[in-house]
Amino acid sequence: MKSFASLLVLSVLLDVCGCGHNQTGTPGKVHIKLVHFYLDQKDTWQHDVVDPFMKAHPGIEVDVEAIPYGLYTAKIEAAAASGSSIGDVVLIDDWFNPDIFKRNYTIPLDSFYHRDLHDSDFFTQFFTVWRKGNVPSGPLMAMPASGGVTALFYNKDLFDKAHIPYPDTTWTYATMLDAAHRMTNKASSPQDKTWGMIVDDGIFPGVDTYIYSNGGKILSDDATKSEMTSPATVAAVQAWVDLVQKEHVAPPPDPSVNLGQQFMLGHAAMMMHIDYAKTELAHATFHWDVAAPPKGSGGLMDRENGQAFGIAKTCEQPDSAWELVKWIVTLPTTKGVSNLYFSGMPLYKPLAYSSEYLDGEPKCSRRALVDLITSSHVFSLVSLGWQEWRDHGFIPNMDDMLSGLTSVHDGCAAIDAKMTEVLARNRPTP
Amino acid sequence: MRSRAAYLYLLPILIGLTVFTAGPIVASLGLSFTQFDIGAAPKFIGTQNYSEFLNSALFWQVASNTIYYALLYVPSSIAVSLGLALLVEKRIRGIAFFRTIFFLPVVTSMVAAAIIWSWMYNSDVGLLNYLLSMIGIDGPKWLQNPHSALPAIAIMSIWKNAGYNMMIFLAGLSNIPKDYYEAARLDGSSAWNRFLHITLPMLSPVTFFVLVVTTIGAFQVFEQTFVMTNGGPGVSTLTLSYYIWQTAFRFFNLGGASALGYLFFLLVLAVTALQFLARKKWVFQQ
Amino acid sequence: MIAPFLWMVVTSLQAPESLVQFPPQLIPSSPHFSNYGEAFRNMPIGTFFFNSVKISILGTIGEVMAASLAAFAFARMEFRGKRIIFGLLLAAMMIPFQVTMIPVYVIIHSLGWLDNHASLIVPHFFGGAFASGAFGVFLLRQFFESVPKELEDASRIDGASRFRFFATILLPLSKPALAVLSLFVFMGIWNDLLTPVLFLSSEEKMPLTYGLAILSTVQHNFRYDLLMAGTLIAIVPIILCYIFAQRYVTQAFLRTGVKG
Repeated sequence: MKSFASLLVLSVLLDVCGCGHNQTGTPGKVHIKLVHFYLDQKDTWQHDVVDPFMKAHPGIEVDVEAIPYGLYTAKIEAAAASGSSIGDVVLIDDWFNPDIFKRNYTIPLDSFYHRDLHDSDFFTQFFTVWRKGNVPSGPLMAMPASGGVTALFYNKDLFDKAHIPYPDTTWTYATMLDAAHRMTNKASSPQDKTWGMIVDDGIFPGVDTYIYSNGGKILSDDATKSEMTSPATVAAVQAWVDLVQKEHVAPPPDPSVNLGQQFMLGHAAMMMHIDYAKTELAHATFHWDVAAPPKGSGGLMDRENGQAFGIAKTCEQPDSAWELVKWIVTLPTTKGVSNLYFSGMPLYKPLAYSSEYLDGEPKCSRRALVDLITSSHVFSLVSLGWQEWRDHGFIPNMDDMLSGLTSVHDGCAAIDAKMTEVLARNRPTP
Repeated sequence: MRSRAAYLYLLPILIGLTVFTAGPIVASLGLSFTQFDIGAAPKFIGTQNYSEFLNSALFWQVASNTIYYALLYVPSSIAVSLGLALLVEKRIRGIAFFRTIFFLPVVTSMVAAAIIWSWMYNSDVGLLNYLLSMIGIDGPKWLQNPHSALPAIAIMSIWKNAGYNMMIFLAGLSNIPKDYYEAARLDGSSAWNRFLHITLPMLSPVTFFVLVVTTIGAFQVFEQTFVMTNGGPGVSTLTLSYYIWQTAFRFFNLGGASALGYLFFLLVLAVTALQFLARKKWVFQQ
Repeated sequence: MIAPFLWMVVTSLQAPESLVQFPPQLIPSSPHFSNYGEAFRNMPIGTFFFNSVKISILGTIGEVMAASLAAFAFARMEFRGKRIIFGLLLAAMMIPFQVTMIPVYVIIHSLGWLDNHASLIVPHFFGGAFASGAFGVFLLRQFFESVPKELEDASRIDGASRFRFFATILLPLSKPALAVLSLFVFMGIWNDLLTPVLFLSSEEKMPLTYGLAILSTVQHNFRYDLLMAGTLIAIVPIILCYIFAQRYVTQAFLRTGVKG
């Protein structure tokens, strides 16, 4: 009995004294909260972005919270269900932005944007996705901060060994296939096998850039209908699947590992991947570089990705919040820009062309990717319900097609059916 | 003899059940009949969520994946744990070392375990196929083949959780009076006989507990999919728990997720009820 | 059985350059013990660790107390609604957490416990925010039921109250079960990432699992060496608890049994 009581008392004491009062913050200042998911870049965000901001704006105090990506939307929904938001300035990923915007989670920023910033300073090709309804005339629901494109990553050592010149702007997919053949060896044991390239099944850009560059489409331009059964699309998917099944220059995808494992191991010569992957290659044991993806019969189409910062509807100090958003996006101090956004490209041109970014670690031909924006047509695959038709429609069927378990005709039809079903269920609200 | 004092003993749990369980369960049931968009009030849509799922091929695929996984995992896991417990029960020197070794996987974070096993299962560069190749066997594409992916996850889960149930069985074994064994030995009974007629019956209440809890846990398998496969290849490792997570937090469909949660609950309830009904047939009560 | 675990140790000692290799290198050529120092270098590891210890110990005390009290009632008393309440308890175990997560968040929010360790500790004194206590009640009930009734009758005849029997006779006799339950509850809280991330916001309140999450993020995508080193560090306290708990379980082997 005594031990129970003492345990209870001890618990309560420890709890009360160790808990720490909730910060009410310094009085007299405006308090805003920044939320992001760049968990392992927390320090850069704090020291190179937030601290300089607070120094430049002494009347504003910023709290920062970093949430693991996998739990990010869960927390957004939980907070929204209880009538609050996870923060004032909220990082939004293009994987879920249409769903957030549809539900008016953030405030439109057009008036702020037009007042303080200029289109000519930004890669505005990336902006449409951040507008409600995915149309150029929709209100801007979050300020675009970073963008990524599909890049062609290549292993310089393997190219050197095969005496093939590195990829350049003359490359077509035919050139790529030829190079892939020459760099795929016939070895059967895993330690000696080299593949020409990696194909993906839709989680990260690769197959979609291929499809669009060859005249096909996955999603209609207004993001409401599937185009998976159009002849050009089916032909492109067939060619992609053939890379594995007929040409044998790429291994079937493995959903249990991070994309590009064979490339990371130095056992594949090329991969088309989102350019953020450069961060993962920082410790590669071989020499590598990036280039623009090859041209297809439909020209150079490149899938874009990005992140943006929105101001939550529940924010009580939108003016101060906008100051922070503006600061993040234009980063006047420039320092640290190559360690933000998982090394994605800033959409503010002076930053993207700054030597701080272009020469940042890990070093590679970043300029080629920045130029890609101006020379190609970028498209986005984001629609309402995108994650659902991607996770339950696109990826499983691509997996089956790439493994030879389904014919391309049946696979594309199945994807089309799923997309139609999900898009119908997720109509935009007027 | 009825007791009112019982409620006092139950008070903490009862409070918890009321505040944290009953409320949310009722709320979720209500939500399952709505379309709930964050930031707006839930909109009543009747049984539409339920009919949509029950009519979707994907739902039945997911349900059968879940049941298949449970069938693979539960019996093997219990057998392995019991076996391990019997092995390390002996009081010989150094046995504590083995007990710790067997328990280590339980304690390891799922992320770390998933990475190690993903590597081991890798059909090109993984340890398993490497070892198999050394004895001339061409190993299967464990996690890439839709037919072997779920069993592969089950095997990994058995490895990871064996120590857990082993501990429970150890505690249960310790409760069996040694005199029974002494008496049986004096009567000339063999070790196998002793196991069959003393150990198993005396252990049966604990075994029952392990069975019920392991089954519920098997149906709720989540972390493995979350960390390792995301439901792939195809949808072969997509289990109910993960499907609910996706529906709620990836597809922003909270009403639908609540409906799925209830269907899941009914399924697990049915299985658990069957286990309780069958209890009298084999569980030995003091 | 041990192989995967050994590989974890091996990986934790690899140099980052030789990590992704084939064929798998079973013995690292030059062990990098520095990985252990580097894993948590840019993090307030001391704070994370202290938070984990605090939340786990307090939560475990609370949950084991609540569970043993309730289990005693189920094992040894008759009362109205016994079956219903036990059924509710089991049902609570069966509802997937994904479904109750958001309503529970709303409740914690209305209690004003957001970004406060109370949200992670106090619910355990009542069985846990996600009905984790149901497991404990169920487990202990099975063990309490196996203790012969004669023991309780004997102590009652001696004039002891029911609670005294519970506290001074039953609980000590149930040390193996209590040890196992405490270990499991401790482990569950120690390894939990979801609940802290959901209810807390300030970094200085975060537990160790948050630090491990940092090691699993994109920039660390192929830094398995750091992840394994960090994981092994996080395991140490639990292994200590395990060794401690194990002793209670094995002590019981010395008893010749409970005879009336």
